[in-house]
Amino acid sequence: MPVTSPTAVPAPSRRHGAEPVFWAVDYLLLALLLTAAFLVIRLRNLNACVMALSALGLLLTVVFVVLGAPDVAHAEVVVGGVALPTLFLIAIGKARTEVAEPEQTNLEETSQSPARSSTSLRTGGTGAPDLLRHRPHAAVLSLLLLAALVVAMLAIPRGARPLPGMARHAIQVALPQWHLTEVVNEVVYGTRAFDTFGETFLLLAAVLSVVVLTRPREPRSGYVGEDVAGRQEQLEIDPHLRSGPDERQAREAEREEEGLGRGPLTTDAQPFAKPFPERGEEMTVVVRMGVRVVAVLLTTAGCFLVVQGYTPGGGFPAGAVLLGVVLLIYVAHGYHRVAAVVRPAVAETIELLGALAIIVLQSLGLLLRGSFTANWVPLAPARTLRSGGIAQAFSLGEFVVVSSGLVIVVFAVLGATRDWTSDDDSADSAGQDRTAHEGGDES
Amino acid sequence: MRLVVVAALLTIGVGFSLTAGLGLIRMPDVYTRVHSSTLAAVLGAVPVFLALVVGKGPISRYGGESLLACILVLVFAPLSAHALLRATYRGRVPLWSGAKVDQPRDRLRGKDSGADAGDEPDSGAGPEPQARG
Amino acid sequence: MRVVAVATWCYLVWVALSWTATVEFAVAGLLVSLAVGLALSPLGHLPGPWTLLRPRRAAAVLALGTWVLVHSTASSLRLAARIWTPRRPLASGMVIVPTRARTDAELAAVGILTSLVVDSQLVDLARADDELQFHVLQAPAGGAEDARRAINGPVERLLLGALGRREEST
Repeated sequence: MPVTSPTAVPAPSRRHGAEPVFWAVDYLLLALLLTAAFLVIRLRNLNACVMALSALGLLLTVVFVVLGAPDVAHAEVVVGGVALPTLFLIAIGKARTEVAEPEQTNLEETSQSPARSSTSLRTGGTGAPDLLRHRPHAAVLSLLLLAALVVAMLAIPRGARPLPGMARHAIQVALPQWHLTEVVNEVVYGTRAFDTFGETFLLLAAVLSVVVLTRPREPRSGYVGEDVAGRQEQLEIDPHLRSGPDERQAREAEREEEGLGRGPLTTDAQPFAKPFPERGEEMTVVVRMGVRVVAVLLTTAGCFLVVQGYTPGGGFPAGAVLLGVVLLIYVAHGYHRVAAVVRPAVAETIELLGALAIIVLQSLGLLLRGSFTANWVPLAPARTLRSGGIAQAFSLGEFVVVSSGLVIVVFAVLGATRDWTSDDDSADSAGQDRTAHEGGDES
Repeated sequence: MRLVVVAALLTIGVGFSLTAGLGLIRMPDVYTRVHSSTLAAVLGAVPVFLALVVGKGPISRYGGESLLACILVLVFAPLSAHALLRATYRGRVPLWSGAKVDQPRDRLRGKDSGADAGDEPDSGAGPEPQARG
Repeated sequence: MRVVAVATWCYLVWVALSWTATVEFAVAGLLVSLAVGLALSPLGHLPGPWTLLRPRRAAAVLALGTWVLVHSTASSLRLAARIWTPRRPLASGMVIVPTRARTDAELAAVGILTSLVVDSQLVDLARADDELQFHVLQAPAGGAEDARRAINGPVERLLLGALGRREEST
């Protein structure tokens, strides 16, 4: 990487040779981005919207790759391409079974139509004319945002224009002082470590808010399928406690919907063409074995990304990769296989320990070197595991916080259930109960 | 020489990706479309990774990562196809009109004492077969 | 033993990713591999890479790989030709074929490898009956045995040869 020269900053080399081609790629990608964003807004099918959103994330990833920011691309592909759509899919699934209009859902549940209409939640067209007519302030805000984006686009340094001072400074100190070959990482974990520090705790705050939103009334030991275990406990404590018929029916229906209930947990022995729902919690043996192999590969690659992704580097992308592995195992093997780790007691402890480690790491800089986030770890030569000093440790802490935080968010939303017990004793009809804990997604 | 091989591999990959995309549009039903999506992985993505391996040499970070990505794609493509097809079929999405055989459904119907005739699988209470042979 | 098998695979992945022959990387890789092995081994048994060191097995695996490569390419070309000339008749269908694969690993390998040959995609499996359900683009004529010969027979023959039918673990 041509970052050693302190005075003359070379323009990005890819602009030199095949300039027109790359500009074409840039604009093609921007057009595709716009198309995908338009699809997200205009598609009538909610699941299709989420798929378009995922495509948007992937396109954004490609944009980042083209612009020469592979680390951002890594984070974007897992967060924008996988994690965010997953959250939306979960939320849509929850909304359809739990907060849709009661009579409508009942009709749909009983008729068991194979392709359930997914447009029931759309509140009609939300196109530009409607927006102007109904929400003029939203239109003004959109225009302001557009203007800001245009200004930002025009201010992007490209070609022969000089780089901003921040970038020049980062290029000058990255290799000589920090022994980092990746300038972006020097910025993220070195020069502007305080920003990253703040972002980490912003993420922590978001995780906390999701946890608060989705927390059930009683303490729980796992995220999913908890009410089964809880009921047993409840009966032990109070054998005379009887739930109303409405509540029981609702719980039964929900369990049926989720495919839980009595019966074997395996899906391998189902006769062919037997329609859903099935009892099994896990997928077929082919998927399970394949995921087992892939999980080994992906986890190792994720760990490698933490320590060496961008010398050093990708705590954030690697955390997202770990979320991917956990989700894969969860989907293929069922919750019981990840329940040992993915439960509030463990995941939240890990999350807070990671945050604490980061605080200690940065505060030691204040104690030993006189300023917060200053480097106090001895610097190893470039291209080794310990190059970058505190940056590497920060990246590791980031990995812990991000991975556990994302896991908590996804599973908290996944485990968010409607509490079928009515809120107060007077209004005992289930179905009126609107105080359900609904899945909230922060984004 | 190496450049020629890389260019050829890239062309193959991009060409088959294009073909698979076309297939997704042209195929008549979801079951046949899944074949196209697997094609996109097998002869669409893998040659591109191999091009990177050839271009950078297998004993390099690029080469190693590409080989591992190859494995990932080659395992994931059939897996996702399988999971998707299974869910679709058990979700009672019918085959297209030109399909020649549908043995599982024939078998289900045969076991079902010929209760329901007609081509479309009926919705409603699903027949509970005891297929054991 | 399970942990060692998983950890060995991990270490191979680590080496393939880093290609850096320093003590630092070796030690870090060892630690990471052990951690990943401990974390993932509860999912089940995975045969270690050393089983490939037996020459007969390695040859069998190589033969299997070659077969899949050749047939996968051939069937991909067929599918591509079909896509570009849509007038060709499409005789797709769902077929049920018997299988000789029994263990988890065998079933998974048969499923994945037969699906890599894009003419046939695994849809479902019924372990109680030892049957697989495939969606094929060209429905084979004849009975279930003919279909087996056309779809998963060769893969199973090569695969069971490779596994030697001895390690029936998991």
